[in-house]
Amino acid sequence: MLPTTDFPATLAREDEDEGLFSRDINGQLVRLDAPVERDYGRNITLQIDGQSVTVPMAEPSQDANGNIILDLEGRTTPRYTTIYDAATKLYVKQPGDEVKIPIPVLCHQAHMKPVAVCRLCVVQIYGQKRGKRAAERKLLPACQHQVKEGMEVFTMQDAGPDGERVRKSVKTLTELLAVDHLKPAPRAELDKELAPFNELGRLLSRCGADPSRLKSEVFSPLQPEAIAHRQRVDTSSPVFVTDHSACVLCDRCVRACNEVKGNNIIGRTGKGAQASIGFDLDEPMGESGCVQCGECMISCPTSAITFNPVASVKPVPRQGTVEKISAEELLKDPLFAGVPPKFLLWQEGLVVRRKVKAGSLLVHQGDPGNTAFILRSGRYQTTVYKSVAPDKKGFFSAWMANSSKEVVFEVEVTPADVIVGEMSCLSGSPRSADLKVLEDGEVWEIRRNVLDRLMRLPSQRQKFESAYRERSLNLALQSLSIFEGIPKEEYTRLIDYMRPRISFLKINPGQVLFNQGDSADCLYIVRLGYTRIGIRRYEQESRVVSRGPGGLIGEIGMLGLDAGDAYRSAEEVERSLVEVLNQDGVDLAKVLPTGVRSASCSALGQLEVARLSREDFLPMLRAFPTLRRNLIVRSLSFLKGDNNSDPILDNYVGQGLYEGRSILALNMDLCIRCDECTKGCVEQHGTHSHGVPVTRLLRDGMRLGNFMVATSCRSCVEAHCMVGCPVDSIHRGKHLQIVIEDHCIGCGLCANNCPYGSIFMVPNENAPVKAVSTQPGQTLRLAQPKAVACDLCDAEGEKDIPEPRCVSSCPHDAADRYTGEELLQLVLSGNSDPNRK
Amino acid sequence: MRIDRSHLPWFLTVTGVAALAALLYAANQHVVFLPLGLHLPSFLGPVPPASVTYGGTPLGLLFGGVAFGIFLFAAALGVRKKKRLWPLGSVQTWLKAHLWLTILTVPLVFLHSGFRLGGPHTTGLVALYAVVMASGVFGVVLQHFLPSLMKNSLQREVVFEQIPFLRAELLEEASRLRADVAEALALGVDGDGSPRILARFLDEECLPYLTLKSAGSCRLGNERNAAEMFKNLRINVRSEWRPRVAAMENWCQSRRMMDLQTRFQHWLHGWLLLHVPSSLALIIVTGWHAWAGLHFLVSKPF
Repeated sequence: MLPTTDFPATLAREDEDEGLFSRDINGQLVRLDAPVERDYGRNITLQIDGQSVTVPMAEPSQDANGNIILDLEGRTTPRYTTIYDAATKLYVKQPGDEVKIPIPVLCHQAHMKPVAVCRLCVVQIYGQKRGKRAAERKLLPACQHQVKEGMEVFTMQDAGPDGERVRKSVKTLTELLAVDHLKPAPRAELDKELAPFNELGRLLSRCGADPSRLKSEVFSPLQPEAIAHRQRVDTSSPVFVTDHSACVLCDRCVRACNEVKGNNIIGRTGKGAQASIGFDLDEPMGESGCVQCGECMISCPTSAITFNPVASVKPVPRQGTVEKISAEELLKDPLFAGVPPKFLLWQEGLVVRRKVKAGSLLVHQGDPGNTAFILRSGRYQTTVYKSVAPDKKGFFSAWMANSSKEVVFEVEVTPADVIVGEMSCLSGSPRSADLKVLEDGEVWEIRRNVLDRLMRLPSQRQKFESAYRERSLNLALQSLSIFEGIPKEEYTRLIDYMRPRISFLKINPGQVLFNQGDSADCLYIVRLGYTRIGIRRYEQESRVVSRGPGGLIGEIGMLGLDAGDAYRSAEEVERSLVEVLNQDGVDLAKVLPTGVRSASCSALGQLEVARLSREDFLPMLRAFPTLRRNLIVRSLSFLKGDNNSDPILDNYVGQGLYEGRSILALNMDLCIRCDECTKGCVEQHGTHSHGVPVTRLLRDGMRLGNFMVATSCRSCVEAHCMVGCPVDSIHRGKHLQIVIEDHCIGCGLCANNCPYGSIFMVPNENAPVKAVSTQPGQTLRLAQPKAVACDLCDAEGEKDIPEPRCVSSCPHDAADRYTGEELLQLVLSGNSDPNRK
Repeated sequence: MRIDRSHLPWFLTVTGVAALAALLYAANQHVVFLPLGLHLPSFLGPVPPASVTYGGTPLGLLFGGVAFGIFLFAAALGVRKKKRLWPLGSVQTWLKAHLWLTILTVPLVFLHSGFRLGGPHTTGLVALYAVVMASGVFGVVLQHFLPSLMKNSLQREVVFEQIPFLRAELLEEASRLRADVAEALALGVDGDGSPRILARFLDEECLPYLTLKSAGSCRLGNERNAAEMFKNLRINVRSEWRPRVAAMENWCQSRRMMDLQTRFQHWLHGWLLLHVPSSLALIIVTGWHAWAGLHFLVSKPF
């Protein structure tokens, strides 16, 4: 190998530079600069089939769920706007309009990075050559080609010669693909259902192609053994069937597996006629590391990857009548246009129709929210109560709790609002409001994975996000503790003041919101998730706290306070502040010196915060004296707090205990390590779920003070595990615990997502098991894995209060379930009294 | 089980019942003990007892019967623990009842026997009873103190059943290091002799320590010795080998922790090896004693 030092530096530099260049329409080398954030503001106007459209030069890159990708410093990653994006803007006005785009695509999907391998989206482009209008020599892929100012684009819809050229090309390409790869689904019983949704088949009829004209004798046929690799049907997976002969090598499955899901199982293998997709090192799907999440099958535009019907989702019984809605009916609805048909066909019962009667309660505040409701007809009312009554034993105390509910917010919703309940469904948090039926009607109840799919469609996402935003705002504001004690009239004025001034931000895990010493330019309110706040003193982090939903961040800096103010009285601070605030005709932002952040703040997980700028915050301080007072008292109390490092608090935050709703903690002063908790767990659950006894807990874990936090599901406030389940088999139960339904396909996504290792993947002996012989005389049993997690021994929600067997089995009263805060208080108070319950 | 405030009601109940039993016994022997001219009902037996064997009197039989009933109940704890799903009350209450009711049997047995050992059979029975009670009390004392001691002594505990596998993993790691060292020696990169020193240490100290099932006699089994030995080793090898020395030190530390945990675990549960069989024997012998006594009573009544 040539040593790197011998390689001429100049040559290396030239080689690097060449990679950044391409030739433009004039044949001149042009530098391909990466887009930058300022390109978002540069508008480009181009013409598509004679219609003018203006689009930004670049757009922020988004992930498969439509979330903008941010780097560690919170910056977006720009990507050039493509011709296909421009055509989408021009033709798609409402959901379902995607079919009107005159650019057919096979390898491209809106949520994927374009690769332009199928070349069916080709268009004729005209640009400026030496100041004159000139056509591009080649047809270029619209999915990948960036827009340019003054560009003219002709698609197959154009009636002129350019359109004809495009049509011919698309038609021939379609015929070439169809003659080899347009195949019926390998499972005959599914073919009737799937055939209408074969994108290659649909394209044939769209461009009037006739693959039969390409007779096999026109081309010399390949020897069967040469293409045997491409002809095989892989039935090794219990969930999916792969017919390699139907694969058009569009790479949608490859990108779905690697980029969307990050599983990195599917890739390309072979060359020439033997080129195909392969699982791992070209192993059969069922024997590869494939987790069977189904993303590849849903992405496949042909019948190359199809499914075996495995998941039958049972509708949850509630008031009114329930009826499963067929995929056929859903696909006719404009709302579902764009959702992959295979996805809807794969699982039954993802969407159910509910006929609801006036006066009934569809949703109860505080209940687990695993579904959302699409309103079809009727009238409804959402009511937010100040606090959800805690579970109390006894009729009288429960009655007292119910009677003390105070209405905070009430609004009527109709089918024009399209969707309700999406907040809980998306975030995995409990229902934030009651939903009462005012007039008989019909709702479609959709599960989270359907909502995820809908959110991938840009047109739907926009609609849902605006509804989500408006409702989040009301909830974020009503949950703030600093509003306590504010008279109702002042409170209403305050909410009205803040509503138009607040914006929402989504922060990725680990991302820094601000650093200690930064200037304080805005106030944050935590809507969802948790933050880590650390104070550094003498180059050491001396204090760590966490703030959860409803928490306020940055108020100390916004008030211009610092550690030196800790021993001033609230009256004194307020007096000096009011003196400045009450000056007439001055710009408060200039008169009051900008404070600095007294701590660094970062996101502990996915975080959603509401943001109020300093320019809006200062007038609010002037107008609302009770709020001002609350903020000052709160800030001073924080500044006065113990600034010494506390390893317990550090551990508490480090172990993520703050988000635990039901943490199994063992008092190590009482525990005699008899494992009765584990044995109780195994006995309680029996062999029902997996065909073999399975434990939901490991008596092993990190310590916090005298307690050991066992490895068992904590029923986190933010359920990381629920994100992205392809079959929506994981959700919250009656006690907000995590419940895994029997139709889990064992993809392992939830186990990977759980930061605390509390979900175990165990072979399901109830599912098809096969024996593979490894060596003569030896067989290896293979069973489909299935996720298992603690469901507090009440998966069905039959009990009013859960009685986990791990706790009741402990003869020494060492095991108990706590919320994170309860556990922290117990440890800090040094209380290990078993009578604490 | 830790004896704490939650046991106070049990303590008071047992003390009260024991006092009542003692009063009944005393009143049965000396009627003058009863205040306000009260006397025991006649079915509780003759006053003073006609028989020299107090256990044969109705009151003595009552004490004995209750004690035997408690023995049976105490033995049922094992069944209760096995049948976790049966709705038989909480296992914590069962354990407390096991503990305190068996303590209650001490006065009952003494009152039943009339503070006499009797013949060889009853003497043997009392000896067996003493073994059961002593082992039980020893177990309670261990369970009261050992969990805290264990928590403070062990920085990190592992699942006890996993210890053999974890030990095997440590040994595998060490063997891999030995192979690396051997390879370095074979390639002649001995330099200042570091690989040789490491090889000798591995062969003479580390590997035997990690291999032996019971390694209490090894020098590395002692924390202070081990620290000294690794300190010397670090000084004698070149800097690039020091991370390996640190890894070795970690393995030995883990092994020591696991050995200590094993010892604790054996202490915590080892007493049951005496307590459970002796309890079973006690029930059988007491059953036979009851049958024989009643048979004798029926054939030769007062």
